[in-house]
Amino acid sequence: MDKKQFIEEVVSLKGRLINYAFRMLSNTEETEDAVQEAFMKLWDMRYKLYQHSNIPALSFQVTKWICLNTIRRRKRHDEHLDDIMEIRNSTVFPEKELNEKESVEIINQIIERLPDLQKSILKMKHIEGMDIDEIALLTGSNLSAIRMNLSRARKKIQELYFKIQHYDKSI
Amino acid sequence: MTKAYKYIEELLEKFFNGDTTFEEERELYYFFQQSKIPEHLKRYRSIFNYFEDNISDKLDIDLSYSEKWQKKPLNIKRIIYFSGVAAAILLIVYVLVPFRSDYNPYTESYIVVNGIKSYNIHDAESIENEILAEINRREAELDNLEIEIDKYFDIRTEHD
Repeated sequence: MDKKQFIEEVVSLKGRLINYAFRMLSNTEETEDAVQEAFMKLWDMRYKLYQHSNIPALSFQVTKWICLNTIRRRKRHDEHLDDIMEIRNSTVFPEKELNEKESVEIINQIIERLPDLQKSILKMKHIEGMDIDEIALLTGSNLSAIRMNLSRARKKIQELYFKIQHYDKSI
Repeated sequence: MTKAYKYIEELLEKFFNGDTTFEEERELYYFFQQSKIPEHLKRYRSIFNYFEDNISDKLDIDLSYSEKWQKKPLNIKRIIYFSGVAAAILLIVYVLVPFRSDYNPYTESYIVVNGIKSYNIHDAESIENEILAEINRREAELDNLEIEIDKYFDIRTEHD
């Protein structure tokens, strides 16, 4: 399925998916994010979408799964602190500055903890080489929503990585 | 030099706000590959090296979870197992239900006689008998007709 077909057959479901997600989440911002993420997941599956007999039904199923994940995530508190401690404890730090391999491992773990939506945006931007406009088009979102989530992902990587480095040096 | 670093700092801010173009991102990657970087910017080096070289290894693997929504292949063992369970349940129902003394398979069944519902089993029996008699009569007629046809062809054959 190419971009044009994807926009016609999948992104065109946006209104219905928004209504569906909002009934589960009752929150406008989370609903927008959930549907955006659903489109990203479906885009990720684009080469196999025609194997499914009912693409709208699949789109609703993916959206439902993401909404349930969103509800589950709401229960997590003090996420940052827990993450930092968990990452730090899972890695053996030498007292000297982190070497290249250790840095890669830490950033891998930080990305592991990012919300799926942010991971998907990073993938579309940094691996598939799409610009913000293309991502917005494929997810039926506006530019600022995509930019905001890209920014959140990059800032989170920076913030946690710097905190870990600082923690390491203070030992 | 300071001016050049000022430009990099601006690019850094743009990058973390999600505002950089691909060209600007390439400038950042290139800058952080160099050996001489001012002290206050060194801490960014690993992050940009990661974005340039390692992020694809991580996200390509990570996002393959989309397979979760692919159609699963048919699991023959599972189908056989559940078919067996279903057959066993049907067998139990088939064996046990008729032995219940109050069991009546025709409960709630009715017939319509001249547009009126009747739950009376005797009405149903008399109508059934009438229908059977009619069927027998028609069958007899057909038998007679068959005999007549046979006779006709026998005669034709003899003539030929």
